[in-house]
Amino acid sequence: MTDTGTFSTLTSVAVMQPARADVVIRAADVNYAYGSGETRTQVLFDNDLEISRGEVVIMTGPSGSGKSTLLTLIGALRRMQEGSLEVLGHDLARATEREQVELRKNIGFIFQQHNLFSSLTAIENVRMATALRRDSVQEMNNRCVEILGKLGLGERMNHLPAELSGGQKQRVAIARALVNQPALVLADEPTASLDAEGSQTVLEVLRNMADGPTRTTVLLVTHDQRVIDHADRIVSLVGGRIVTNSLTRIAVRICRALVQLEILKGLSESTLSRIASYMTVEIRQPGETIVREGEEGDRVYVVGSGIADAYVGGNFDEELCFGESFGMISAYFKRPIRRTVIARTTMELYVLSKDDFLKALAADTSFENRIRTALMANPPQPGVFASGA
Amino acid sequence: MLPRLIIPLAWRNLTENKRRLLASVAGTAFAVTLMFMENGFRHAMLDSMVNVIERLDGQIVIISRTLYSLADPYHFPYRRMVQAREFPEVTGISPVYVETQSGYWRDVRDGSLDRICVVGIRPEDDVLNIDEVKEQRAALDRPDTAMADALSRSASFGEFAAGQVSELSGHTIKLVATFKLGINSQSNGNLIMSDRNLFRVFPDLAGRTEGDSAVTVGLLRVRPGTDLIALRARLQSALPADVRVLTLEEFMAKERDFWDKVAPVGTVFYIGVVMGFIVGCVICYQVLFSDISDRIGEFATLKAMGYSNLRLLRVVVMQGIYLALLGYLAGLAVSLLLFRWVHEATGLPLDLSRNNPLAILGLSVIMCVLSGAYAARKLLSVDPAQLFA
Repeated sequence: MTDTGTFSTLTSVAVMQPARADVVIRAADVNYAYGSGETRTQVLFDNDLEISRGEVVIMTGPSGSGKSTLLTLIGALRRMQEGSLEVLGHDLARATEREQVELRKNIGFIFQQHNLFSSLTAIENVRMATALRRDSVQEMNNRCVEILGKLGLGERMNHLPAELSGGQKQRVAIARALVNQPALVLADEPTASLDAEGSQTVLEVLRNMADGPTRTTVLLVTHDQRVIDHADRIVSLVGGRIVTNSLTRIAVRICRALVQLEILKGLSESTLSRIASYMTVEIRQPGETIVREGEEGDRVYVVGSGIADAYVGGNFDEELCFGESFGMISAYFKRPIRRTVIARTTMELYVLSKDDFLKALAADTSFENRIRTALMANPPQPGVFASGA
Repeated sequence: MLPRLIIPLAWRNLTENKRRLLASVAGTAFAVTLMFMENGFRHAMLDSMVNVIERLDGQIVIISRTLYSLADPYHFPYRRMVQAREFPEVTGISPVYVETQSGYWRDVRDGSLDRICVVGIRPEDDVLNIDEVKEQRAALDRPDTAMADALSRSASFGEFAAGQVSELSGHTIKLVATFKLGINSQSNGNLIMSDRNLFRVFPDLAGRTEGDSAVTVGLLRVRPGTDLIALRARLQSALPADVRVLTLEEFMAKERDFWDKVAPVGTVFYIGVVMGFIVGCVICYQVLFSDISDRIGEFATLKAMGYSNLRLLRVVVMQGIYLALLGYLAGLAVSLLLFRWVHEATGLPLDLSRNNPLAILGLSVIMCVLSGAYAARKLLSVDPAQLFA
């Protein structure tokens, strides 16, 4: 397991986190357009992205958001137009056709369609990939048998595609992509045609490759929520722009806490996810004062785990637990913090700073209106986002 | 069962669908058969045009300078041969008389007349390498006798038989025996008779004196080890300009060249071979293009994985070569049957040994390789990025 999935030992972890060292994909100001002249349609706008070795990253977004185009650029299947893109140490903005072909030999591609040769058996289809890194016949066959076995196809390797189910064919295609233990795997809805068990098997294999000695980087375009548990990060594209790039597990936990907030109920997943992406995670120890009554606050807190006690004028007011918020953004609401909050147990808190709060507001008018309406209609109450503690 | 070193993708793709394979091989075999037959007819025609010349027993020939083909013979005076006899290397001279225009044989069945080629020789010279003629030279020397070609068209002359008596250009002739030579495009039958009998039927050829007799081919036999080219050159310079001196091989080549290149007959068969080649190209193209189209997703996947265009082209070309070999074998089998049938029906010398089977094999392979390379354009232009669309 990589360190991106654990944060209990950290005092603060940013959800919108840059890649770790050993970056294998580095995109900067990437633009891309189809057509020319009057028919020119730009699909990618100034995208920056860094993905490290051994990361499993989900790329998501609505249809036409540009994720497939970005994936094909990273996979050296298209030529770069604007910006810079470095993949596995190759500068794709300057790479020749031949260099692109060479780079692709280090990438495992998984497409929605299995595209298996109907004339070849499962193992022969997988062997088509091993031919790119010619080894001894025994070594190539061993690798094929091993990966097919891992994907639950040990008994079906001598069958033709016509004798396999849809899920089995897709797993053969996945085996073909992984058999050379590529440094990078690019997958387009790899689990779309798999049942729950097959999907779990494939995701475990991908996760193990990312965590294993090869530390394969995996970039998946998917809408399958089952994948989230196996991913390190989610990159969301909307309208050709990367709008979020968040640590998956933390983002999921933050979103779970955010949906408990009354004021955020009914907001779309993407809005919640965007708010989550601006938040950081803090761990507080028992007895620690988190906010103090009367002070000017510049942060809002949402309880992820643990219990805190709130005091007003030195008197116990109430207990705060999972899904409740406290703190104040004074600069925006021009009100001092109403309560002192002290951790009773070890706490995991999700924190939104003033600047990020403003950014989140600016990005979504519905969110801003909702906050304003709540503040105008009612005095700030506990449990209401951005209310006084 | 584990795969061997090479995955035979081309062979598997070609043979996967047995019904399609049968149709593909049948189509290619049709083109191969067409080439075999056209080439066979061409060779048979050319061979038949020199069937008399190739049986002449000598090394050097003298012909009239105006003679361009034996089918339309021009003559020269016998005295030129006498002059040639003066050369020490020349050990023997034999005049051969050929009459193709004014010899008419009456069919004993219905009395109809049809033109026949008449060859006159000196029986004592043993100038023709035809076993039956060698055996019947004494009989041939008798007045008003001839030998007839048993392979002559029976529709024109009926069945020739020893003892048969009929009429040649108004002169009664008795057939003393038959021989097997074969017809050609210019004559439906052959007669061989002594020069003396020939002069009786065609007195114009006899001339006023022996020295004036109109020889068609003057055959010279020379000492073993003689430099034929040098002797030919010396003879040519010594003899008057109304004759041409050639080695027997040069004479044969000249006759073949005339029918092959000058007369339209050879060209027609050439065109037939070319048509067979073109038909084969179209059939192979259709077969291979259709197969590529059916597997375009699979090939695009290979391209995405890092297969170069050259490597993919090799797969299609190999498929073309396999198709060529299968089509060739099937076409060869059919052609052999047709050769036998046509030979029995027409007497034309059709057989495999005269047909350059390796040349046809080469043409078949070139045909399929070119078609494969052309069909592969679709494959080479496929954009693997579309797989992510």
